[in-house]
Amino acid sequence: MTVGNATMRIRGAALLLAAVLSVALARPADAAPAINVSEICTTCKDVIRCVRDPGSLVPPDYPVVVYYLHEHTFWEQVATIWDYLVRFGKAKEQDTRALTIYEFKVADEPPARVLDQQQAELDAVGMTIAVPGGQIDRHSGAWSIGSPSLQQGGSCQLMPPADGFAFLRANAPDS
Amino acid sequence: MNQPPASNLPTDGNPRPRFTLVFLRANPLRGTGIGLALLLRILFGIFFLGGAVNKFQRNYLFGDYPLELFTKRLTEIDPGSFPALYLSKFIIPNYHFIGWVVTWGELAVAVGMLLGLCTRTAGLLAIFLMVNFGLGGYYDASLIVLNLIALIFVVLPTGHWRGLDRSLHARHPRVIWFR
Repeated sequence: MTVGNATMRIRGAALLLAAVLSVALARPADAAPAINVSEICTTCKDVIRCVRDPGSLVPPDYPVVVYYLHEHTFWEQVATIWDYLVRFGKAKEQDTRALTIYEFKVADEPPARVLDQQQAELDAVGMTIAVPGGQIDRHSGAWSIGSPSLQQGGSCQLMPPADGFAFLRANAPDS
Repeated sequence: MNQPPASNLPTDGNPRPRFTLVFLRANPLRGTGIGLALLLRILFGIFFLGGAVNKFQRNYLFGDYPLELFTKRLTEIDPGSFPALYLSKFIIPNYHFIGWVVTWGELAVAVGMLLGLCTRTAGLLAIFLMVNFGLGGYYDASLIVLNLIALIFVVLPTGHWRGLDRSLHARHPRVIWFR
């Protein structure tokens, strides 16, 4: 091997290394969505309160709806080890969380209806949370409801943790 | 007198077997067990390497990301719990130091596991880090399993089955790091 070839190979290897490092060490983009829930948190309990717009086209049977996104179960938490290995180097983009829906006819009164054993689908790419019969935009907090087509129905807020825990103590003592 | 299989005979004075295909063929049951332990060690190393890369990406060493993360976590957990106390009194005031310990600690565990270098110490370091993650409010059930796996690498001589510990121990038999 000539000195020229060796130099070219070293230069090529250095360029390759630089390219790999620039990808590996690139800082992920920061985002601060209105509904700041995480795809990777396995022990988070998130409580989202949605209020219908007065002028919503969808009949407001329940003007206030609270979505409680449960923490993952023991075995789901254990399974994250494998999940983490499989997506090595890539951010998790989807997550499914057990969901309880509390529907209120009048805010600050006990819920008129509680729907347990539901599912919420978190999507970090589309920045949405799909809930039964609706969807929440995590960027803006906009709440789309209706079936089969979704329409703007109101807005949602992630309850501050202290308020969320207080809500769960009052409405889901077993949580 | 019965002689042990040729593949079991130490060639470097080390009574522990070196994991090779020849050893696996001669000792299928034990070889499979050792092979699985080594595979687990590599996966464990990859797991910690991923964690370390993430820390470098987030600039744990020089940035304020750890402070943001720990402060956010403090708002998510029960304010009366021990993790809240540990976060507020120790981790958050020393977040730069914690960032360095976590980043370099995870990288050291990854290197130790992937190369079989100071493997038992790397296992202990992994347990130390993960116990502190749990105490700091980041407990979840996966930590139980990961700690049990790390314990395997503390108890068993996996760095002698395959890794740098074997040759380093041969050169420096009194040094405890390579045992």
